[in-house]
Amino acid sequence: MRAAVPYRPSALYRVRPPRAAPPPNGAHRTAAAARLNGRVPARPFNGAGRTGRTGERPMHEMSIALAVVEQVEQAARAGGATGVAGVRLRIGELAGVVPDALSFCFELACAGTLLEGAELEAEQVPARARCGPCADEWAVGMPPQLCCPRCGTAAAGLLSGRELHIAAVHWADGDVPPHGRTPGDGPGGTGGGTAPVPPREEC
Amino acid sequence: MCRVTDLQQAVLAKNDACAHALRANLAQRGTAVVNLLSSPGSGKTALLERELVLARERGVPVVALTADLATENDAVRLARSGVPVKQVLTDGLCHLEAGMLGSHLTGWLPGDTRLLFVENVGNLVCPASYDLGESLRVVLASVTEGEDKPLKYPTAFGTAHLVVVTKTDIAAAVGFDEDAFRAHVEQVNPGVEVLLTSARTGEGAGLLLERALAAGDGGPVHAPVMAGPPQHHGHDHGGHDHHDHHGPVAGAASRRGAEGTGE
Repeated sequence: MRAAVPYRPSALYRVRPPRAAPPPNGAHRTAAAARLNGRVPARPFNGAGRTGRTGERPMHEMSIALAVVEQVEQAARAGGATGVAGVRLRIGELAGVVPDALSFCFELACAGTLLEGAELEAEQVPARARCGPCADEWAVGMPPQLCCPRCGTAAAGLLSGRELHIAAVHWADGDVPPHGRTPGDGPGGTGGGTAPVPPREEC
Repeated sequence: MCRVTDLQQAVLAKNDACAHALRANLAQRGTAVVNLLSSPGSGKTALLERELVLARERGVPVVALTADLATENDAVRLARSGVPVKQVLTDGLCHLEAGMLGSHLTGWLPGDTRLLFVENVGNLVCPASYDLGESLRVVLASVTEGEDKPLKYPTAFGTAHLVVVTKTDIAAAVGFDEDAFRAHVEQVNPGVEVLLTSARTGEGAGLLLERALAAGDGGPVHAPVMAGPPQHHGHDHGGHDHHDHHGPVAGAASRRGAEGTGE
């Protein structure tokens, strides 16, 4: 038996502990979140907790919208673009994201950023699975059926349906697109010529 | 006419990268994370409290971190086991992310910890999208919640390495149909193990701890169809090893084992 460790109650263990100092380059990773301050509804979408604090994200579609804005802003900075007309997302049927909720959050997340006024185009991707033994492929539906409808075996894997990707960014007129693939390279690509992922900040 | 750039970036790439880094860092020190997901009120805390007591009795170094919108009630309950416990108050946020978890471990996680149990915010929607660097993702459902819960929340149940049924002591009283529940689990996550437990009667006591220790030691872990294998998505991975989708990767514990647990 190990020695007991008494619990020391502390209300200080919040989601975001106090930060030591902002990064020297000023590119704070929650800059977009900061601009949301005061723009979120008086009550969060899930009806709980407080809102209005910097970086507060009451539901995960808001977290996702902020991640989209942050990544597009990074790509824009990398290429010198100054405006974004639209963003196209690919959202799999099993991604666990509600497109309508995401659209609502996206508008809020774009406010005051390079993306202000940008349109969100959500391309929904049906979920499909493949059977190993009989090589059958099927649309899994919702709720998903992940056992083969022909032979009953567990699916060997999903062919699609878990995507949550930024597929394309439509830059505003007159902007120089960041160095990356152009539509002429074809959808999906083969791994070559993709836009470089901006450097990630440390966790 | 607008010009277009195909980015092909995973929206949750940052969380996936953080989760991967956290998993690798913890593996180096011999710690495995167990991520517990369920609806509010399904009995996560009661089950965990019992498992923590067993771990302490057996001399297994475990700790627990519990997240709630408000109150420290769960931490107070879990701390009765005598193991180190930390409460995270989310102030309305509906899920934990890998970066947040990592920040809360800094300066707190005891060096000899073998298992870190994370009791996620009670919610079967949002937490399912975020890999926390866990080696074992466990989804719990009580017998009162309906046999079709796995169908209503397919992402959570579909990405689980282990499913735990709680409150079986009242299964008969509420007419719980175990066969129907198992069939629904099988539909969204074929092959995943389902454990039956009751914190009140002790049914299934220690099973969660055993499964967690096995996963932490690099033993085989169920590979959910929904969690892998990685799909092609044609973007530059930037040197990191994230998966196409969010959520835990199949075989994460095996990979962790390959990295060495120090055990």
